[in-house]
Amino acid sequence: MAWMTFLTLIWILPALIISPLMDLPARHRLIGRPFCIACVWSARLILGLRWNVIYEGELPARPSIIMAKHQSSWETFMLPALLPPQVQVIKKELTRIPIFGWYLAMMGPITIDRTQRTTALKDLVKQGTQRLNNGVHVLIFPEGSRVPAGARKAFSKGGSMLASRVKAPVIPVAHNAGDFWPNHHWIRYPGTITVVIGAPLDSKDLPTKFLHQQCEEWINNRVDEISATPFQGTVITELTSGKRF
Amino acid sequence: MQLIILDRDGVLNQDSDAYVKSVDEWLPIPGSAEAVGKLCKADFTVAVATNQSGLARGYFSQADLDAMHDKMTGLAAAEGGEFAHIAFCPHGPDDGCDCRKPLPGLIHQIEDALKVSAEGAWIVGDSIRDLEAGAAAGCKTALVRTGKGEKSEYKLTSHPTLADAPVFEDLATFVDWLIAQQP
Repeated sequence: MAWMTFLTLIWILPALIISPLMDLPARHRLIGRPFCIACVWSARLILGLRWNVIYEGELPARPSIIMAKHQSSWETFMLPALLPPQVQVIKKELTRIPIFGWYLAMMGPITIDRTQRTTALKDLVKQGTQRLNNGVHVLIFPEGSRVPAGARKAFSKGGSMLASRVKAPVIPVAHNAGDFWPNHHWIRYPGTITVVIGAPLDSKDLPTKFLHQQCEEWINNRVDEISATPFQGTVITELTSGKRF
Repeated sequence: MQLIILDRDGVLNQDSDAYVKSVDEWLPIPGSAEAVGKLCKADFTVAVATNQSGLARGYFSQADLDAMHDKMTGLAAAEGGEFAHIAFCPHGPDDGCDCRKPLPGLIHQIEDALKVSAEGAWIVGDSIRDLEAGAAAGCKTALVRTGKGEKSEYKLTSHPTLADAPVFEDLATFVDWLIAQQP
């Protein structure tokens, strides 16, 4: 934690100062991605959190919507390192955190207000379309907040709606970071996190509903296959995980 | 024979906030006439259910409406399609009628005219009230993004009963999907 704070300070503060000189892709390439790589490597060296990434299909050449399981903070650093360049869909509150929030804001995220569902959907589609047209992937955690290992939460339709409107492929991502990085506890267990990058789902001509179902089923099933704690029947309905970030 | 019910403005032709008032303002959505043709060739019976409060408001006359529907029928016929029945509600929102969608009166008119049940038939619309009217008569519901559809899609996701309705790009995409589902 102390190291992460240090890393954030030595990297982010200078970056905040020089970032006005860079365009968004340069910020992602020179600031965001190296920072994310440093974070997951720090976790690897300090906490013994290794990873094994499995690619199940060929990655699409065009900007895509990445839909991933959300269990911990780890994947929010790992995915930008793995699938660049990408912007994340984040809750508005995050950009108000001093320093780290300013860093997030600098990376051009799609910010949504989770309490206003319809407005959040409109913001997602509007900003997401723009980012995809600029050649950047959009990362969405369709569960909307972190879900403990062994639990599930209904997927929001936003990602599928965006994919189907823009006719962009969806890359589903399953992982079991929650087995090693429990959200509700400060302890982290060493081990190897499995990340499965699924074959892209084609949104072409598929009604939103079925794209949404396909994606949810694939992610939930694949997470179960790789987890030490498969689905235990707990379905989370709270809007937030209770954590600030 | 399977029944399918289509909304008109925003599904078959371009919608306008200023109402579609004349035959010249009735402009087909690309691919919609062809889609009707495909449905008929696949042995569907196609009916239309449309709110036309512009009649009650005096924006156009019955003759104007007939001319629009002649144009619509002609364009569909050129693609091998026909409308088995066109049900329209001529009333305004305050007339207390039972046919203005979201009420299911138009669907029941279609059932009476064609002597079929609409239960289990698809209804395709660009607004929530089209889907509500269909659902009230036991129809399966689908939304298209043409017309007001893009806006309706947002509302649909938080709708208490219709949130699960599939959403399609346009009528042509829906019809291709539907025909691919047929055994």
